Amino acid sequence: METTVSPPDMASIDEETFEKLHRAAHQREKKRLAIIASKGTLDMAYPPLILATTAAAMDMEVTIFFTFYGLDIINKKKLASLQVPSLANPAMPIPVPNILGALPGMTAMATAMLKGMMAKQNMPTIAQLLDIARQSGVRLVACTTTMGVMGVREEDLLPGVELEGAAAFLDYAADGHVSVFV
Amino acid sequence: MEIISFDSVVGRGGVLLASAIVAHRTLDVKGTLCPVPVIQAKLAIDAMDSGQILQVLATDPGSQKDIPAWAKRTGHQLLHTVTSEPGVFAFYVKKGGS
Repeated sequence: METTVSPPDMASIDEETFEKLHRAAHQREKKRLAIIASKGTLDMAYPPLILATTAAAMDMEVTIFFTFYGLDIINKKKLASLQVPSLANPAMPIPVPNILGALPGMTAMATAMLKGMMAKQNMPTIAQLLDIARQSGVRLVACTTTMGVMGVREEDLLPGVELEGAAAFLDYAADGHVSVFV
Repeated sequence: MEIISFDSVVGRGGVLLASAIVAHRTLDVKGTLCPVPVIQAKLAIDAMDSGQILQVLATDPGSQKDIPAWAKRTGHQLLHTVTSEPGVFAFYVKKGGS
């Protein structure tokens, strides 16, 4: 932490000056965002990537830890085919009774519907958000436990993805300012 | 350098004051939603010199809070916000020194 006051002066400065210096130093400090992405559906792939790319644009340092089904978001073979669940999803654009949501083709329909709504609003795709994230220095981290459990190999993941476990993520997050679980 | 916008305000006592903001670059992100306006604003301002003014035109209602928050966090100065036509927000951001 930078300070413009040398130690002997510290005792003599008044509370207001100290508060001002403290706030200035705090604002200069680079903010850090630690995100856990644990869901592998198309709708749940957006929030971590929107937050990450926005934070990077705000000069924040960002890591996304992809764990469990969230690992699909950075899986080269799977990221283009993330789907929207039509079952047990009462928040669908057009509410569908579960009994109908279970019919063949309903998941594809729900997915096509969300993709269409996103495109209509000029929203970037997941692949585009991942590109923006990587270009703006967002660290993408794969959970090695998930890789082991689900049989995902490093070559299945996007280039540049780092491999870590919970301790490494927590070590990063412990020095952070904002943590988000998705 | 060109004059992008004149906006007139009626001052105290009914005197018409005209303030002109000169923007060096305009970014049109009308018709996009978060996170696009902020990401594009960041890319645009990165290519400018400090002290220069970026005009951002947006229609995302969230941009009214997002652009000021982004400017505050990144050390740029939001000079002015105008609703130039209904639903279109024009933000004037002066690039901070780096």
